[in-house]
Amino acid sequence: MLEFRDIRKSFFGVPVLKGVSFTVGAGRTVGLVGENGAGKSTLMNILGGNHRPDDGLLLLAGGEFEPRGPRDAEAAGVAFIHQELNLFPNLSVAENLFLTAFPHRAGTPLIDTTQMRERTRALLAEVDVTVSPDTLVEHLPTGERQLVEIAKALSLDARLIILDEPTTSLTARETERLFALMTRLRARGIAMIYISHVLEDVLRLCDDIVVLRDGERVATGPRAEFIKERMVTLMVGRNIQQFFPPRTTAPGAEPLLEAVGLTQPGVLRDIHFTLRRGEVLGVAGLMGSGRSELARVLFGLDPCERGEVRVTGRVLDRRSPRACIRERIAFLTEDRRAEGLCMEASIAANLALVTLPEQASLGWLDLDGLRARTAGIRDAVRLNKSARDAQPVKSLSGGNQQKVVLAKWLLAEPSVFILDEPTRGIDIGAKTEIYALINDLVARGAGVLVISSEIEELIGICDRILVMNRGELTDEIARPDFDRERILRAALQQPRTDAPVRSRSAARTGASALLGNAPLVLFAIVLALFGVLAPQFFTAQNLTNIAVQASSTAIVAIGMTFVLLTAGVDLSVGAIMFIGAAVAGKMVLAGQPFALALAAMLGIGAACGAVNALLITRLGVMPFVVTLATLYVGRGFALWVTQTRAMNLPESFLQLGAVKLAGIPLPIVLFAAVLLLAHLTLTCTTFGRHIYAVGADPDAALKAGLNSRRILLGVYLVCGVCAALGGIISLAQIGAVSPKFGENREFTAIAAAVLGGASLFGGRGRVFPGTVIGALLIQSVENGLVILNADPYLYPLITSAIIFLAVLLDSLRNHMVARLGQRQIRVETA
Amino acid sequence: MSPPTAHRARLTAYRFLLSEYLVLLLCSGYFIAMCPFTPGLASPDNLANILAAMLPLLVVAIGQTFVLISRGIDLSVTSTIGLASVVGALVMNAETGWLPGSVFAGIAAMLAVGALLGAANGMAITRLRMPPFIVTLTAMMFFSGVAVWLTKSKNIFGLPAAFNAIGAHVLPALAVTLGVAGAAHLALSRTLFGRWLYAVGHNERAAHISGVPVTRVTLGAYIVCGLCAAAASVLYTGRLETGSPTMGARILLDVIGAAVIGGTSLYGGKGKVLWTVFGVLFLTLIDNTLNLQNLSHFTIMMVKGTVILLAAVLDAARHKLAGRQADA
Repeated sequence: MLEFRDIRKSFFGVPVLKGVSFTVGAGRTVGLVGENGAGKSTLMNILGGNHRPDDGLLLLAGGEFEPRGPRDAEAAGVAFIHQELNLFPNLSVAENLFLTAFPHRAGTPLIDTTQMRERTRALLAEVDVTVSPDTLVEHLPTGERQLVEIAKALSLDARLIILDEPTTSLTARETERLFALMTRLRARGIAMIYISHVLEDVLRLCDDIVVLRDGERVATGPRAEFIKERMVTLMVGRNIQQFFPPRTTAPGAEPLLEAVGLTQPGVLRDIHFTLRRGEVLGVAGLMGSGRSELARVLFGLDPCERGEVRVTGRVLDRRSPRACIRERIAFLTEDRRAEGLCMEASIAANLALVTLPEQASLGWLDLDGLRARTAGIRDAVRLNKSARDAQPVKSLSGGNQQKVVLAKWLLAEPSVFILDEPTRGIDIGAKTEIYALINDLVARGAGVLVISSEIEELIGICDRILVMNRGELTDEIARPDFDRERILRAALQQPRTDAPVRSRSAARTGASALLGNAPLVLFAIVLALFGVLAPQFFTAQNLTNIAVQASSTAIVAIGMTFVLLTAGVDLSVGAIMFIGAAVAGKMVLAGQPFALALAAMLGIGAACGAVNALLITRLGVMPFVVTLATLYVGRGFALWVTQTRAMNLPESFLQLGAVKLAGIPLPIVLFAAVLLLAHLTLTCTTFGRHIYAVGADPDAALKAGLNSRRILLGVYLVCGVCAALGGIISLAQIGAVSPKFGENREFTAIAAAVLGGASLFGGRGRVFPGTVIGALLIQSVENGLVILNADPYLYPLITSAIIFLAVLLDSLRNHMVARLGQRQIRVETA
Repeated sequence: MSPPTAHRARLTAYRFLLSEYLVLLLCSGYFIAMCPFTPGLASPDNLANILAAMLPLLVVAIGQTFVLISRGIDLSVTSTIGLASVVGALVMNAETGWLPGSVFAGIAAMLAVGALLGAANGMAITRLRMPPFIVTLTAMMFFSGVAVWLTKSKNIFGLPAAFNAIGAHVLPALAVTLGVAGAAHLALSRTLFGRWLYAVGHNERAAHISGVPVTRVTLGAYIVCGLCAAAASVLYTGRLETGSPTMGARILLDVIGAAVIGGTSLYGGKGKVLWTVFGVLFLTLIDNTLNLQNLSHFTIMMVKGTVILLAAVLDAARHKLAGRQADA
């Protein structure tokens, strides 16, 4: 069905694929195995259209296949299930499934939600998932998210599904569920390429096996021709024994680090162990077994309810990274990019970071001493000689980056070194060097705790291995008894308690719901407060007044919400209002019809929005700076148009603001119309849902084939037009254009949107009730203070205090959501 | 492959673009190019004007540089200037002052206001973990609201002559500015705090795990920023001889613009005092030349906006270039 024929590819002159050929038969499952860097991901990126091969052919169903992007692959029936899932957590399951092909109600741009739900239910049934189609993906456990991805592939009529390390973040039971589904898919005739480091799984699931090493296909054939040992030898290219440098020292008896009954509900349960001087202690376990969490608790990064940590017999009472470093404990984290290194900073700066205080007296640094020390450690870890000290670490290879992390900790001369996945994503040569460094460390009397998902690695370098499973230690094995099967059994066995490892407590959910509706709650409190203090506050006349006064701000804020949803910002809305008003004012005074002037204003709004969008998308400058600049230019331009003089518009123009439609003031009608349109656009159209997707995860949106540039253009257009419309209402209400027209309106608009729950980081926020409540809240406060005859100088104080409060509540909620999601989503960085 | 001369030309262009003196070179080039068309540009009086205009702005921008390096932003500096100005004037004015005529108490009060407001921002950002942009935006509204409320929108006159002298004359102002700039430069390049600040700006999580006291460092950056704004307020207030709640209200964009034009990154981890000096020089020079051309202030606004944008585009291009060089 699919054939790779002599595929070659080089990056920066380094060949990564050196002529790879193999075929995937129709309906067959092919296991693709190889070390990191063997070329698996490059090969799959070529198949997915992310890279173009330098040479060679792809044949799909007999025809030549040249994918130029993810969409081509999708159209050809090729679907990818990546280890980093490409779902958008802020969208529902159904929306994720139909993101690029929403069903529409006949003749309208609106999404047909009924049909979408029906089809989603059918697809979910196929993959054996029973959640509601409306569930937000962020509320699903990782295993179900994976199944949803597969459902998505099925919805696209995929004939070939590529599963790239799908089990790394799954629990044992979720893994079984995935395998059962794969068996069913195979029975339906769907071909699959299965990429995994777990060779047992490959042997169990696949019909054919392909082994890659250093960009070459070293073996291929039906499963029967392979046993595990042969696969390992093929992958590594030599006998695994030589791979681990021999150790000459034996562990001592003195305990260096002891964990006594460490317990954190849902994460760790009664963990006891002792690390001795000169010992390499391994921790095995599946992802999610609590092995990394244990390391984080030991190093004081995560909380721990009960139990204590002892260092050379003394209890460590305050656990924090600083306290641990003082006790000479070092910690290499599993995520090198996010937690190990300052990627943009220089090699020298990274090397010095941990030991900086030792080179300072009263905060003053000894730069010469610093240089001497970092130069010494570079040689000790055999860092690439050609790399300059001032070079940013991101320019180094993975192996050299890892050596920088090791080196910065080695400078602190640790007596205990915790290594979480020390050899992940680095080549074999660098791995051996790191094993040698571990040997040196223990030879000097340190103790090393190694966490690894590669059992061979643990067997190769450890004196003792602990096995973790669902937050508990399930086995402890000494070197003479090392046995792969035994470790796996302990890692997979059903634990004593079958409670889910992580549950959402009801109290937390409730607090989250309350915090999520903070603006509404605040609004209600403010209304009630003014209602009690000032009886005339709740009259129909006054409430209408509030709505009329709020309409301009609300419309501008609605436009701003669109921009904020994409993680952008538009500081130029006030300037847009001013330019529009200046031009329209000139036209009206020159005797042009009102309609023409107002149309010109809207046109100006759209044009300004387009300029902002083009500058942001084409020049790659951040929205904050672009719109700051257009704010300057725009206001300057408007001042030039008005020659910095105030313009008074004719009385007849002011009448516009007082026009009523069916008894309702025109500003309110406009406000309601914009709100309805914006709300429908955001919730029920493809454009609207894509805004949320782009805002939540621009990279995933790109992979999903969304056109971010066009979406951003649309968003800034909407914002510009809304600003112009808000300007029209203000103009009709004030009847004059002063040099201060629209000044600081960007801040009120941002405040209203943020008050309504829009996040500055994109992907979260709604115009209704959100932003509208925010705008009404600000206006009600002002109105109420006027009625109460409050000191007008207090208005900004009270308004800003309320905004501060609302943002505080929102950030509390975000942190809560983040904490809940944090430990569920694991991303392996290659 | 391209011929070697073209290659060398491209390398020279790269080196020019990537040089940290790029902005200074642009300033010099601009100055020389404008001289023939701008009578009086190079006159000693005008040079003194340029210097005088630079000084207080530079002091504020240096504070902002600290915050930007930590990957934050402080939009409230202008309100800090206004509030410090008002409080200083309330303390030492001759008529209603709490300690009339006491220059020392006035300046101490102003600096205390700056440090306090900076600490308030820093606490909200570190302890309550709120985004810097929105914290300092609401702080801007709140602080200026307080300043206006304290004075009921009126300016306060009758400041001690000795105080006014600091801001009104170039020499004492220059001394203050050089002191601030020198201390800031040393703090960033030669101290533990400086190195930690860059690390926090580059990668807060990695810094925390490496034992950097992230909360204290970030808090420190905002306090430095508030102190700098207060110091600038001393210069501005002295120059105008009045305590005004709206003092500095119009310079926010200049402050951030100057830092960004100099090359300080809004993404954190990158920035130097010297760069900010160049950025301030650049903006001031443009202001000054356009003023000498008798252009209206709206033309100046438009030109300045365009220049900020061009600087940002140049910075984005430099980033890409630097990335490509590192890859090759």
